[in-house]
Amino acid sequence: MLATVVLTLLLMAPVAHAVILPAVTIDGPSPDIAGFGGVAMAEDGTGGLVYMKKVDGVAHVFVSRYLEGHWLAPIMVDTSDQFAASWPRIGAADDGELLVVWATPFATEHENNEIERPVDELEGAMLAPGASSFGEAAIVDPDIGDADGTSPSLAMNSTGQADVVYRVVEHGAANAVPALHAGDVAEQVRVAHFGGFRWTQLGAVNRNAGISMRSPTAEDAPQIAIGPTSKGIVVWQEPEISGVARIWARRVFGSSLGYVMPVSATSLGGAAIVTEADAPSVAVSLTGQAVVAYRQAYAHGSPLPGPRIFINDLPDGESEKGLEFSGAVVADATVAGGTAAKIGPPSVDIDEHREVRLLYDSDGAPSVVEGNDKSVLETVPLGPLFSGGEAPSASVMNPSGGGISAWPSTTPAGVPAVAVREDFPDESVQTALVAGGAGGPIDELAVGRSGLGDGLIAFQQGITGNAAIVAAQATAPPAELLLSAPKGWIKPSQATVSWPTPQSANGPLTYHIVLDGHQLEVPPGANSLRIDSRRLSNGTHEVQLLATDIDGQSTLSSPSELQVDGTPPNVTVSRGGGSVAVVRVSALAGVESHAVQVNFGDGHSARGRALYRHRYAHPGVYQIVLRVRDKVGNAGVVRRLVKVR
Amino acid sequence: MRRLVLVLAATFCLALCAATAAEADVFGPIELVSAAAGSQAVYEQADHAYEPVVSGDGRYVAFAGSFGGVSGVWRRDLETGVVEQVAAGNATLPSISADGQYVSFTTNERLVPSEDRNQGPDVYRRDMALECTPGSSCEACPEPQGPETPGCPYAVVSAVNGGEEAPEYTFPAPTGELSASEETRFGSLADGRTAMSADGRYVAFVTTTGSNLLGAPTPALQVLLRDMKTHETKLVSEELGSGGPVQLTVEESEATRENSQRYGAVYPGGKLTPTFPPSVEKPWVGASISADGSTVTWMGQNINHQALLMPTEQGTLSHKLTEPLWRRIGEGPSTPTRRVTGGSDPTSPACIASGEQEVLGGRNASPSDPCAGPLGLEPQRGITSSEEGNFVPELSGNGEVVAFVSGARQLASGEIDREPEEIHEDLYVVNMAEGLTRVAATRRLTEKDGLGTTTEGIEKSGTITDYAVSEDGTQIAFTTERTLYPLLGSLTYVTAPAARAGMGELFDIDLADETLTRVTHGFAGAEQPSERPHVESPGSDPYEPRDGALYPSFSQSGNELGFSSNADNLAFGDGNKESDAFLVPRVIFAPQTVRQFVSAPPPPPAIVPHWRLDVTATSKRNGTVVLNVVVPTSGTLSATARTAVRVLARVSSIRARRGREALATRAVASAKTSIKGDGGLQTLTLTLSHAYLSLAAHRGGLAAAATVTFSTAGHAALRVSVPVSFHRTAGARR
Repeated sequence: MLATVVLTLLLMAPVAHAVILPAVTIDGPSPDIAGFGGVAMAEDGTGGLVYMKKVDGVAHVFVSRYLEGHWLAPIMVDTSDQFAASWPRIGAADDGELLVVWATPFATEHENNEIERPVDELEGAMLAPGASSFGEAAIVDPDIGDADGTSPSLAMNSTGQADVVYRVVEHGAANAVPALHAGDVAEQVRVAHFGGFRWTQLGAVNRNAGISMRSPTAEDAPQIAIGPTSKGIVVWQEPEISGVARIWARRVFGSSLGYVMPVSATSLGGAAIVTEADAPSVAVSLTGQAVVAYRQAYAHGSPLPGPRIFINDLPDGESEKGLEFSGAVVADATVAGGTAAKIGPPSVDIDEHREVRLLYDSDGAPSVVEGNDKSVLETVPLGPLFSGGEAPSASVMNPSGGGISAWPSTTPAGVPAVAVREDFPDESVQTALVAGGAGGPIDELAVGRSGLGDGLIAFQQGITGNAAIVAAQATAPPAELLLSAPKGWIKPSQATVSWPTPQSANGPLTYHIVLDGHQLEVPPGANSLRIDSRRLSNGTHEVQLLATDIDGQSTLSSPSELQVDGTPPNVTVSRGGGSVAVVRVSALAGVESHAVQVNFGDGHSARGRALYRHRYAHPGVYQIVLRVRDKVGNAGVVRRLVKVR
Repeated sequence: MRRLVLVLAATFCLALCAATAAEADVFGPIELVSAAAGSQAVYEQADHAYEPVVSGDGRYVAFAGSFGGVSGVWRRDLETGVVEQVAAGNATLPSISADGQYVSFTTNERLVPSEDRNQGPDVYRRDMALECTPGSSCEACPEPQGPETPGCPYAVVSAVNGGEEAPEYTFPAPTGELSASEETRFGSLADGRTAMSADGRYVAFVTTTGSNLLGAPTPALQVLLRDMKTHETKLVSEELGSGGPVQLTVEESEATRENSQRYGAVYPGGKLTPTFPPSVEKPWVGASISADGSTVTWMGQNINHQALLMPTEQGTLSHKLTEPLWRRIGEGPSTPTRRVTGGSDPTSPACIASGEQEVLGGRNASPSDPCAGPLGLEPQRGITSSEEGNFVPELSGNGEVVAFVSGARQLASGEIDREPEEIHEDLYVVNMAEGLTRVAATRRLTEKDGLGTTTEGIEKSGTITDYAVSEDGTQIAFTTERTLYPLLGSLTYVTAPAARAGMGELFDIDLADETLTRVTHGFAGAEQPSERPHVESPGSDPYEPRDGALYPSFSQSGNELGFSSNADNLAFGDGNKESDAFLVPRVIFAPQTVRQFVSAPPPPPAIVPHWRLDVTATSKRNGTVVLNVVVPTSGTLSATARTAVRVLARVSSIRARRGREALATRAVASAKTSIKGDGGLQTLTLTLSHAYLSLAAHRGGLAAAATVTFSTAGHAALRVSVPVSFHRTAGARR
């Protein structure tokens, strides 16, 4: 066997503060690599990728886990399956939990007493938090036909709930459904829900079982997304009764389904759109707002100037009624290429600020559209051109701003590579062209998103027979930091600052307290720090928190004031004219007047005030002794000499 | 929404990833090799070419065909492009030694007239290192010279044991009365491609009529082996027990004797005894020998007379039943002939332990029977049922891997109830290593998936027409019109089959990698199927059976694959509209360096120390004051403590002196240090000057104001004043 597993980093050590790391080859290049299934990432930065690799000639499902910033050696998932697997997909939840689904044949059936077809089932297996191997496979759907065009889409939230949507082409029923379009098939779009331990079939979601569906392709495959509260949304392509393929959606509420909602536009400027919509992409925000992007084809007579990407959003139901989509709009009106423009499948993401990021192949040029639920705000070309036809791309949103974009491209020498661009919240940019294995064409690019702006980028590279599974990561800095500092004046010993652990997919984080621009070490694991009193002179200090992730990326909190008074009140003595001495007690934190006692050195004394005027009877030098205290408790005895004439 | 920065980072860091070299089942462009090229002035394509065979070293391709109207066997040097005639006339079915020096073939031309006096087909071997007699055009060695005359390049392979002369073929032949035309049709035939060992020493062949090859009368349809070094011709298909030839079983035809069916030791490829020359569309005949010369395999008949069967089968099995047989000829005359596969496995330990005498065939067969073989026992047909494709088993270099095509039911996959008409040929490989049961040793590589002669039927059940095994047994090449493969859950396509059934295409299975590659395609690209002029007929196959690729042949490394095809779109410039010989190399991937480019990451958040001086003071019991100073950077740090002290005015009288007591500020302590590095927290220790120790003792301590100054180049000095207090030390005098 010629396969060479390359798991260790053959690359240069990551540079400090690296955010896009060079790709590593997870497996291969090898003739045993039989396909790539996808990659997933949870909010805590754990995740994994799934692919197919032949063992003793049979394609099996393998997963490489991603933990603490490293890819682990691949493990086999379908250990109890005898037959070849297909259509693997992966989802990730916090603490390293992974969920994988795949199809595998378990029987054969005869159609018309002639053609023998395999009968596949959709299976799923979970790798529990902390576990090192997958559990027993569970049946998600016992009969998905011969797995023709299954194209499952699996979405998992960080709490371990998941939804999967997949297609079941019904060969036996093909004659029972009249074909609206040449090549149409009888097909169900089915959804199943994973509640954390078991699968629940929700059945077919497509609206009309009597309407034929387009022949299954990657571009017309259904997609699904799920939010943190298990509110998901499924989108799919289905023809209207007129025969025009549109995009439709249904909400998924755990184990129940919402009603069918139209997503794609049926007209533009009063003119009907009678061309096909396909390539739906869907994302859902933390609050349940969903956004769908899809591709609208062009044909002569279309009101569109050419093929276009449309975008539509479904409000979360809190800020607005989430009963229906707001209305599809053209995402990018200016596309080169005219009516013959080549438009790639879109990839869309949304954050809790209702900001949307969309990436697609705009006639060969990668283009990002940014906007919000109200309007499209900006369209920006990114960099190196797309390569290959109908190339997939992926976009990941950073809630703090910017995001990650990845698309198949080539190096300046024309060698296939994946272009990665990360736009940071501070508007800085990092770019990369990553590749692995023995090089070769890029296939099945996918990006797993943490929801915090991080992305695991994985793909298959190389021709079949010499392919490799390759992965890179683009990480976002730790999220916005919150630092708690004492308000008002304090003694140095009271200068303790604290902070909650910020969200980061690349922990554990290390912290520094930045005091007046000087970094102070924080013990590992601590979320508070008592600042060394020696550093705290009287006055106002500026304090910040610096959090650094395992990739060297840092986030600095906004400054907080720290007002410190560490000494007893100050006493000044001045002459008030003649034999009068003026004694003034002051403190940054304020003088506790009632605690002030003064002995003027001539047998007289006074108390209870911060300002004294005392007339001496005889000239001379007198020692004034004061007992003072400020409002934060700094107390002391102060002696002053005064000369009286 | 933030505005995106449009400019790509200008600087890139370069990451290098050195990947290991990997082989893959990817084939390069197809080359037309039945053409003269290279140093020859004129590019001349063969009129037609069949039965190509690649030498082990990959340098030569031998093939049968015609150049400029001259037919025969030819050899092309792939390095120079030069085509040489191996033998003229109706010579056909070439095999070639590993270095290309020897080419065996079958012809009824009398190439060594002094030794070959029969009119029938004989097997010859040509030594290409010896030039033909000038002017003879390699038609034959001149009579007077004889085989012992140095320089005669031909030697009779099908020669009488112990001598060098060709045999006398005895008749009546199957057609009955002897006639000149019949005499030229029956004799000895050797398979193309695999009749000769790699060193050219051993050649296997079969007889199609009676002869004196073994000295004693030798029946037709026997497998024989010629040792070209010792001039020994010996029987391979020995009868079990006697060691002699298997006697013919003849089923006389009532119509004509020509239609009589004869059953010997080797299956003739159909109901009738094969004749010479064989059809160019069905060029399969004889037996295969392994490259190392150790093993011979053939499709046997009368197998109960040749190999060990179940006791009941041994006496009753039909002589018609065919099965691939296998024999190690290098291990002595007593080496038994073994069955490669079949309906029973009497050598299985479980079978021996069971004591069974027979296995049930047909629908009564059971895969759980400990004596059951891998394939269903078909009493009237045996392993081979079709007459459409190659029926001669093929061997790996050491003979351990056997490939064959069978239409029998595979019991292990549950094909018990399948009707005979549902059976279509599929490709099998069998490992003949000791210790394996036949069930464990047999692997099915293809699975037919339908019926019919329509295009759809051919897509799923087209015949496997021809096949070859690589030297190491890991590559199986085969040709078929079939396009839809269930792949048996193990193989993975490298190049998908043609989009529709039509011409036969050449495929390569890599058993080491478990991949399946379609090798042949039009020169326009991998997606283009093989094509030749045809008339489209919707729903039916517009091509003839066996149109397309045939006759695959590997070089020793398995990295060159020769084949013939009558497609005219495989290589640009193929203009003869006939079958041609082609060669296609496997793509060997060189080690590659994958370059990655990652731009410099954005800088981390800027953290700049504030330009300020922070001072705290700590009074120590030892009378010193420690100043804790946070400085912004390197520089010079100094501190001076000053305090007010009583002084006396300069007066003369003591009385006046009391009224003249005054205050003055005096420096009581100071310190200085130089700071390197990035600054940060520094300490300075102030110690009271000796002159003020008594004062501090007198006052019970000394309060002062410490002025701390930090200076560094390019900046104004920073200055901070803090109150300090010196404790009275224990030893200080008041």
